[in-house]
Amino acid sequence: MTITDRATLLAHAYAIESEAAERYEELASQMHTSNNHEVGDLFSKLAEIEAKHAAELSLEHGAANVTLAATDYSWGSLESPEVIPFGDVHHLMSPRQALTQALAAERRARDFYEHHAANIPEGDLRTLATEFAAEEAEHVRMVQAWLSRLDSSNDEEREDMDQPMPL
Amino acid sequence: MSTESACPLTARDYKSELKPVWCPGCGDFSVLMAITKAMADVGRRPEEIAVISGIGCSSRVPAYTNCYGFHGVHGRALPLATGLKLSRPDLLVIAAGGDGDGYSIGGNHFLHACRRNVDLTYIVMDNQVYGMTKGQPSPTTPPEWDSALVPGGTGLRPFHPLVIALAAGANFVARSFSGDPANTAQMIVEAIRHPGFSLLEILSPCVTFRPEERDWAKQVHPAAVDETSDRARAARRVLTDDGFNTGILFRGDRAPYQPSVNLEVVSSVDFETEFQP
Amino acid sequence: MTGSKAQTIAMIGSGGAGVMTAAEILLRVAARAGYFGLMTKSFGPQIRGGEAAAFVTLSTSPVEIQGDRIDLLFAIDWNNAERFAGELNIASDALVISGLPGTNPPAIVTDHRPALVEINLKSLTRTHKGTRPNMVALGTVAGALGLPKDVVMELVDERLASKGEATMSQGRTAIGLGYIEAEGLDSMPLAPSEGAAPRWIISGNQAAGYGAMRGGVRFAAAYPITPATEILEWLAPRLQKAGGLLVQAEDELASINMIIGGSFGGAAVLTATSGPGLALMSESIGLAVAAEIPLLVIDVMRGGPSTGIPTKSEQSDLNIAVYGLHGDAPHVVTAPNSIADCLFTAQWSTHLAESMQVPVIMLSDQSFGQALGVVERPAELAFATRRLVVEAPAENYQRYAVTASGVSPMAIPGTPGGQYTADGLEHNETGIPSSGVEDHNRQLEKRLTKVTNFDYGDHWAQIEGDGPAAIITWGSTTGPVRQAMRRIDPHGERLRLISLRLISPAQPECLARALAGCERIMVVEQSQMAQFFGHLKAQFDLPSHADLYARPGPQPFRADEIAAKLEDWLS
Ligand SMILES: Cc1ncc(C[n+]2csc(CCOP(=O)(O)OP(=O)(O)O)c2C)c(N)n1
Ligand code: SF4
Repeated sequence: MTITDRATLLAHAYAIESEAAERYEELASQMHTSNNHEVGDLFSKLAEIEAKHAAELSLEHGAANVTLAATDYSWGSLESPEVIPFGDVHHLMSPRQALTQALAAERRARDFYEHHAANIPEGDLRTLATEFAAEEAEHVRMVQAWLSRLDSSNDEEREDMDQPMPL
Repeated sequence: MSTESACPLTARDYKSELKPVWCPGCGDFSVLMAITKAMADVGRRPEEIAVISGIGCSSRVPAYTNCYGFHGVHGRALPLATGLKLSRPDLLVIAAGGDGDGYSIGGNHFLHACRRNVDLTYIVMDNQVYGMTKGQPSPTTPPEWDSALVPGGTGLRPFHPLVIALAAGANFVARSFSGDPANTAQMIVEAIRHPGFSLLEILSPCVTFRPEERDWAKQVHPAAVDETSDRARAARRVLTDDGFNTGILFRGDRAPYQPSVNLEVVSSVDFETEFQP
Repeated sequence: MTGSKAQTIAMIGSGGAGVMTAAEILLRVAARAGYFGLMTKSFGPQIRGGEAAAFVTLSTSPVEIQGDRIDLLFAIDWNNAERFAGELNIASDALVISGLPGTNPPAIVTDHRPALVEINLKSLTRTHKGTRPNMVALGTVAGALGLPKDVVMELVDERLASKGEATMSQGRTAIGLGYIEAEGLDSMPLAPSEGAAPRWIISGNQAAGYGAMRGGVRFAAAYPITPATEILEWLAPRLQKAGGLLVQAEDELASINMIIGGSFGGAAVLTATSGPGLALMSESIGLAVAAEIPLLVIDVMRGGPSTGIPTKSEQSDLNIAVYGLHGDAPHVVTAPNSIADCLFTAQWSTHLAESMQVPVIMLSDQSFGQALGVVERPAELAFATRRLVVEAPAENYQRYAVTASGVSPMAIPGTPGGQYTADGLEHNETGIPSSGVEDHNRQLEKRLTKVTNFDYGDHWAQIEGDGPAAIITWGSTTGPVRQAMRRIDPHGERLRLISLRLISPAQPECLARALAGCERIMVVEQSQMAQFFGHLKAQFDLPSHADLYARPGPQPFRADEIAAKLEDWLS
C-alpha cells in the first residue's frame, strides 16, 4: 500500500514508536522475571527512548490523536517494524544479542519510512516521511555506536546449565 | 477501577499486575496481548468476563488478565466454562489452554463442547508439545519428534483439531499465529462475537522445548480463500492444507445451546403435592 | 377386627407382567388407608422381560426396612424365580399364591412349606376381556390384607385415567375379580391403621433431590449411573420449573467441573453419582477444596469395587469419600440414615456446603435411593443458608482472606472490583499462586479451621435410648439396627443407638459425650473391610474394647439378623 495522507503517516509513525516502547517495557519485565537484569535494564532504557519519541511525535505533530482502525495499519509484516518479536528473545540473551535485535528493529523502521518516502509524490508528505526515515537512520547509528562500546569480554555464548524446570 | 463507561477501556485495563512466568520468547506472551486487546475491542467490562483454564504453561492465562478467572485442573477447562456459562449466561466466558490440556486429557470435553455449542470462545495455544512438564509429545506433535519419554517419536498421526471441531459441530473455527497479534486479536473478537462454540487454534511456539518452532513466523500465511459457512468445504480445506493457513476458516449458523429455563420461578415447596399418596 | 401389625408381601413375575406397577399401587392404597410402608425392587440382568420381584412391607407403625420374612407371596409365574434365592425368605406360615397352575414353585419357596394356593390368572383374564393378570393379583393381595376396595378402585382409576374409560373399567373389573378370589383365601388382615397423619410416599433418591432443592440448589450437572440416576431424573424437570437447570454431561469429569463452574458463578449446585463416578471426580473435588467452591456431591453407594453390583447396597465408599482426595483436603462427608432423612441430610448438606464454601459428599445408598417409602411428612426446615459474598469489594479485596471462621467473602463474577482467579494452585490471600511456606500453612489452616470449627449442632448424629450398651452405626444400617433394638429392648433400657450423620470431619468429643456411661460398644456396618470401624478408631478415639459386626452386601441387613447378633452379644 502507499500512504497518501498525513493522518495515515502520523498514525503509523505514532504506532511504531508507542508499540516499540510498549514491547521493550514488556521484554524488560520478562528479562527481570527471568533474572536477566542486565538485559532487562537495557530494554527498560530502550523503552524510555521509544516512549520519548512517541511523546515528541505527539507534541510536534499531534500524532497521538490520530488513530486508525486496527485493520487499517499496513506494515507489510506481522507486526509494526520497530518491535522485537516476542519470539526473538531468550532468557539468557546477552546485551550484545539484545542490541543486535534492537538494531534490526531500528533498521526495519528506517526501511519502512524510506520505502514509503520513495512512493509518495514530491511534497510535504514526502518531506515528512523522509524526515522520519532520517530520524530512524540516526537511531540506527546510535545503536551501532552503543554496540561497539559494549565490553566484548561479556560475550561468550551463554548456555543454560540447568534443565528447564517442570512446574 | 472506576465504573464510568465514558472513557473506553484499553488493553491495559484487562491486564493484571501479575508478571507472566513464561520463558522469554514463548508465543503465549503475544497471545495474552492479543486477548487483552480483543477484550478492549469487544468492550465488555473486566468483571463481566471470566477466563477459564486447565493446567499447562498456556493455562496460566487467567491470572494475567484482570477479569474473573478460574485456573482449574488439567483438561477440564471446557466443562467448567460450560457450567459457568449455562448458569450465568450474562457473562462473557472464554476458555483457554494448551494442546495437551485441550486435545489429550481434555479430548472428550473438546468433542462435546463442539457438539453442545454453548456460547463460549475456546483459545488453544498449540505448541505441539507439553511445555509445562518439560517436553513430551502432545496429540498434535509430529510423529517423528524425539523426546526423552518417547524416544524416536510417537509414530502416531497427529490429531487434527480443526477438522475434528468441524465434524463435532463447532460453530466457528479459525487458526492464527501468535507472532501476528493484531490479526489474532481480531480473530478473538470475531470468535467472541460469533454465537455458539468458537474454536481459535493459535500456533504459539514453545521456544524452550521446540526451538525450531521459531521458524513458524516464516511458514504461516493467510488462507488463500475466504471463510465459508459450508462445513464440509471447510473440513476438506483444512484437511488438505499445510497447517499454516491462518484466518477464519468456518463460520456456522447453528443456534447455541441455551436450555430454555422457565423464568417463572416457583418455590420448591410446590413439589410437595406429588409426594402425597 | 384384629390383625397383624405388619405384613411383608412379595410379588414376582417375568416378562413385563407388571408386578412393579401392582406393588406400587398396593403401597399407595395402604398409604391412603393410613398405613406406613416400604417397597423395594429386585431385577434380573435383563433390561426388558427379565424376572422382577417387588417387596412391600406394610405396617401400622413406621417402616424403615423390609420385614424379615415374606408373609404373602404372589407369583404371576415362576420363571427363573430361583434367581431371588436369598431374597425370597418365606415365613413358614406364609401364604403363597401361584398365578400359573401347573407350574411348580422352586425349592427356595417350597422348602419353607408354606400354604400354597393356585389362582388361574390366565383363564380369569381370558374370560374377562381386557383385564390384566397383575391387576387381578393386586386385587387378590389387597383383599387378603383387608385393604379397602374403594381405595384400590380410586387409585386404579387415577392410574388408568389417561387410557380412557374402557381401560379404567377393565381395571376395576380385574380388581373386583381379585377381591372375589381373596374371599376364598385364609385372610391375613392388617390391624386397623391408627389414622392418617399427613404422609408422603417418596423414594430416598427423590427425597435427596428435593432436600437439595429446598437447600437452594438450582444448577446440576451429572452423568447417569445406577442407582443415582433417579435423583437426576427427578430433578431435571423440577429444576427447570424452579428456574434452574440440569445438564447431562459427557462424563463425571465434566459433571463435577460443570458444577464447579456453576458454583463459581454463584449458584448452589449438585451432582449425583455412585462409586465409580465419585472415583473419577476426586481430583476436581480437590480443586473445589483448594479454590473454596461450595458443592454437593451425592454418592448413592452400590456394591463395589468397580462396576460391582449396581443394584444393591453396600457401605463401602466411606474410605474414598473421606480419604479419597489428594493432599490435605478438608471437606465434609455426611450420610442420611433413612429415606426421609435423605431429605433432611441433603438440605443440611447444601447448607453446610454453602456456609463453609466447601465440597460436601453425601453418602446415600441404593437401599434408600431406590426404595419407596410411606413416611411421616418431613418437617419444614429452614437453615439460614447463605453464602458469604461480597457486594462492594474494597480496593484491596482478598478472596482468600484469613478470617476467624476461616470462611472468606466470595466475589461472584459480575461484581465490579472483585475480580480474582480461583486456583487449584496454592495461593496467598489475594489468590495469587504461591508456593511459600507461610502461604501454604495459612491457607491449609484456614481451610481446616472452617470445617472443624463449624457448629454442626445436634445434627452430627441421631441418638436413641440410653442403655449401657451402645451400637454405633451409620447410613442404611441404622434402620435394621433400630428395628432390632425395638424388638429386644422395647423401652431403650439396655441399648443405645448412635447413628452418625456427620462422617467427617470427625466429632470425637461429641461421640465421647454420647458414649458417656456406656460399658460396651458395638459397631455395625455393611462393609467387608469395616471401613467405618477403621474410621472411628482412627478419628474418634473409639475405645479399644469396641466390638464389630461387619459384613459386605449385597444382602441387606434384616432386623432378625441384627437382633440375633445383639442378643448373642448382650448375653
Ligand atoms: C491429572 C494430571 N495429569 C498430569 C498433569 C501434569 N501436566 C501439567 S501440564 C501438562 C501438559 C501441558 O501441556 P499443554 O496443555 O500442551 O500446555 P503447555 O504447557 O504446552 O502450554 C501435564 C501433563 C497434571 N497437572 N494433572
Ligand atoms: S516451556 Fe514452552 S510453552 Fe512453557 S513457557 Fe516456556 S516456551 Fe512457553
